[in-house]
Amino acid sequence: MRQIIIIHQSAIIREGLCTVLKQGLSTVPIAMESISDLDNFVQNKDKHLIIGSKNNVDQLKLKYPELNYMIIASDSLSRDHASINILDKMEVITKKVESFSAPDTASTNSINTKLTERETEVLILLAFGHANKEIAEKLFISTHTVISHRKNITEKLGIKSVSGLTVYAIINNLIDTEGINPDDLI
Amino acid sequence: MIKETTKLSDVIESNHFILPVLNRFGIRLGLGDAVIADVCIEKNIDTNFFLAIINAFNDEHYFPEKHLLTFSTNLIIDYLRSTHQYYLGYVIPNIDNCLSAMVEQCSDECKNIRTIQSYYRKYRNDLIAHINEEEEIVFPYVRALQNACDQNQEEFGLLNDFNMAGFEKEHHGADEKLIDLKNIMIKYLQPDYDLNRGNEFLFALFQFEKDLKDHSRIEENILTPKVLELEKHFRK
Repeated sequence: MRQIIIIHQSAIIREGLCTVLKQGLSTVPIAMESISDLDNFVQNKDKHLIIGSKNNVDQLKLKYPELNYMIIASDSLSRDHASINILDKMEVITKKVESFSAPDTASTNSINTKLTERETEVLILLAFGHANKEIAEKLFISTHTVISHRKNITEKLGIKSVSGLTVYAIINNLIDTEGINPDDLI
Repeated sequence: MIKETTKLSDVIESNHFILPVLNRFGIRLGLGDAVIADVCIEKNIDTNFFLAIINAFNDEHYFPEKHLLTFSTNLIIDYLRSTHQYYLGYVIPNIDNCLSAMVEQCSDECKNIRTIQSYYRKYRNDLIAHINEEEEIVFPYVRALQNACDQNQEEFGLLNDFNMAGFEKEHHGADEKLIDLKNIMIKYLQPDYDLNRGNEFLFALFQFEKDLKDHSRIEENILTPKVLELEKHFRK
């Protein structure tokens, strides 16, 4: 799911901006203190909107060029549309952020409930009863990444339990149940 | 807020889903214009307890813990047992039938509904086992414990391997499975199912979910603290 991620070392700016955006938009932003916190998050290919200081944004653009960026400025020099100024009024901030994150939200909503290839792989292995560690070994990724994929799967599908996910996999023909009794899987 | 001067017929008119809750106190339809105070006297029901329960059912934000903790464990257990009988005797068999009817109405091999049926059956069996454990072990234990306290007994054999916290975890796991089932029905059901049976099934699930939430709230927030308090008497 597309997120708005606020990255700033100042707690006041982070929390303040979070509150302003929570009131004005329908999404709840995520706040992080430093760019290293972001690495764990950017696992899926969603086009998140990152709002941070100029330094942070410049660094991140090199690492994650596919994401959207806005700069938080405190001086009156940077008043271009890819930035928000802490002196801006609440409505102005909300509007600017909205125009930067709105474009695909309507069309990506349905797409974003679709699982990625990797997520589908994890789901299938889960349905067959494999533990996180086994899935990690089979796919040559870390257990941590498997857990991250599971979180995304649950968020996209709205299903938490492994047996529920198994039902989803069977109904959507992700598993060939030709020779298997579904009862054994669930 | 429902008061003892409220007419029971009005209570039902404003939220008919409360009917099974009334049944648990031995109250049936054919209420005339009777008010709660009179019906409680007639049926030997603790009026304050009754009002606390039905107000809590009607308003999910209303849960007077301190007040509910003042009621006797026996009163609470009687109510919980009545609820269990309702689940075992009606709710679960009814949902079973809804699903079986859906399977019957299928024109082909019905893989999807059967899969959902497997999932539901597993959930149902776990739930029944949990209810039976409460009926056969927990409730008798609590009654005996209360009795021992009332009679000022010196000693009482506490169930050492019994852990109320573990019980709560089971509630949480069961909640999740029911929510998952609802979501699967709403979002992922393939179109080839019987419309009305499907609705019946989903309505029953929604209602069961609400009732179970209420039920778990009482077990976790009222019965458990009371039991822990009683056990303190005998812990050395």
